[in-house]
Amino acid sequence: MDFEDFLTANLGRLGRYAGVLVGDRQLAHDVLAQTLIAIWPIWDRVGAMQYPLAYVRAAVTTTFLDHRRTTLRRRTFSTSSHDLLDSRIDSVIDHVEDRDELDGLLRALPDRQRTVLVLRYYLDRTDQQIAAELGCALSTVRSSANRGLASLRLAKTSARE
Amino acid sequence: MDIEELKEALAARERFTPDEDAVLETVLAHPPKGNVRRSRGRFAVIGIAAAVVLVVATASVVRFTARQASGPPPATAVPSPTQSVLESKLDRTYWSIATVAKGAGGKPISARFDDSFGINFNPDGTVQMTAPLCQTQAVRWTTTDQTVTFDRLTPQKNGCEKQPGAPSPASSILAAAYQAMKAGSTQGHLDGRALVLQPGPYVLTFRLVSTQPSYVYSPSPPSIDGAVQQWKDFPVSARPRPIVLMTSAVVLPADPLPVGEDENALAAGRITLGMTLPTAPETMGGYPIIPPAAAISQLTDPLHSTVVRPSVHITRMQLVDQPFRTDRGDTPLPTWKVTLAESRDPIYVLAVAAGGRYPATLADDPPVGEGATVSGNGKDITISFIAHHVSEGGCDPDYTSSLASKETSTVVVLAVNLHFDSTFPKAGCTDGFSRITSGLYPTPGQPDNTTVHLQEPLGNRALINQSGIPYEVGTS
Repeated sequence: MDFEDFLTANLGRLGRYAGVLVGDRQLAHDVLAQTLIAIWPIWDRVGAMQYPLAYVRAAVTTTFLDHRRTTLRRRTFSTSSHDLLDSRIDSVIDHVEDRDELDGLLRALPDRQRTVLVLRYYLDRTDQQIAAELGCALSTVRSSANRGLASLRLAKTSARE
Repeated sequence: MDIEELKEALAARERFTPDEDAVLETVLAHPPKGNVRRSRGRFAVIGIAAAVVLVVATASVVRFTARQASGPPPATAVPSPTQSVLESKLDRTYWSIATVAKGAGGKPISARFDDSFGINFNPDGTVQMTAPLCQTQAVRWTTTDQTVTFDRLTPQKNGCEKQPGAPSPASSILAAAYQAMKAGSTQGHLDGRALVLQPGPYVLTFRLVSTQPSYVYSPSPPSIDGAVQQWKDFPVSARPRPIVLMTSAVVLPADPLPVGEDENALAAGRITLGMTLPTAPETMGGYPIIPPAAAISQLTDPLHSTVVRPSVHITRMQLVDQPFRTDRGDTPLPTWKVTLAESRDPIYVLAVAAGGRYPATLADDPPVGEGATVSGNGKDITISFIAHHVSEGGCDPDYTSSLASKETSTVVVLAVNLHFDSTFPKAGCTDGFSRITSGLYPTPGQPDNTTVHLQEPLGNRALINQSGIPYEVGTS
């Protein structure tokens, strides 16, 4: 499969994964594009792999984690939803639903915890697969997942009290 | 919150999926140099569409800029590449979107930004910008070219609650944007590049525009001496050898703790003992042992201790041997096995006290080093590393590597340093991205193995890299 065929077949699912992982359309665009730009020159090797999609998806994950680490301190601020820009705040709050509340809590999680939750509950990866993908210990994956879940539950409970 | 709810929330984040054609457009604007076939078919159609969009966008910018010419003159001249730069070559390293208070006669008004600015400067000269959503991450900031104050906004039933922030030095981009706004201009300067302020409906976007990459990775490897300094106090002669842990000291159950009203109790420290705490020996296997109460305290998070929830129940605590990942591989270590009534699987907490560990402090997610093998006589150490890469042109740099080592009485440092082509970025590297990453990325470089001969056997000394991260040592 050449690079173009790969993109034609998989860009949609890679885009959805980047969107879920990043939670910001513009940043997801940048992370996915930067990943593919880096992959393209080495496609001969990647395309020959048994599961090139898995490799590229893992590269999206590491690009995101690397991107956050290297650019966070230099970014001024970014917003996630252009549709709601300049909306009156109280009208926005009226439309905040549980899903959005949970989404906001997901944003507040440390990157690694959020990444583990996305891999586990969005992609249905096993903890062993996540550990291999992130290059960390199995116990680290489990610890990250449990701490992430506990933080989400606590934050959600606290917000309602 | 249950797992299904979380899955729904994650699936809903698919709304952040980037535009497929826009991603393709960006990727196609950065073809690899070399023998990769050019795009065809669908890609070509998208390329034509992108060109049309580009022409329209460029025309808009020119028209907009022409209108601006009748307003106050810019404070400084703008580099000529600004007007003709391609969207795909915009440097996206810096970007920011904010709503800016628009006003007239010193009073804020609610109106769209059209073709000219109507920035509402406060009497003290600051300009106020507000992130659009009142959520946990929202901030409102006031800025000049010297200072910026971020106020955090949190949602409440009757609106937003403001938590005032303290002034801090303005970032360079905010300072440049402020200067441009103050001058009534849509363009400014920053580090020799152009800053473009583009007003759209309700929003003002800052972009740094450049035809050269702004971010060139200049590796400055940590010094070997710095790593040696970190480990100079490693108690190499202590018996048993102190544990260098390469994983969390707490192993939570494989399955998440049960979901329900008491789901947060563990982290919140709402724990009920269904038994009497066992008596801990002072040592086990030569290691000092923490009491069971100290192990329980490691399960809780102080940030959550104020939450009042029903309790979870500890029904049993046993001191057992459980393998943990260390710098000498998986090693059985004294461990508190904690059984919960609410969980099928137990929790394991490392029972070795600070005196038996190095460093004494525990990390949630300690860095994990590469693997190394040591020969039977302890003097030959082999490591595998990414050794070299041949540039494929443009923004892809050549690099080679070298290995340096240093031995002290407490530590052996093996440092792999990458040496990048000093001519990088090469001609044609104009995409604003850096292809070099800091090691997290699956690099296209070629691996190699190298064996280092030590003057003395490694023994109990730590084997670390130049960042002070231990290698995981096995035997060959």
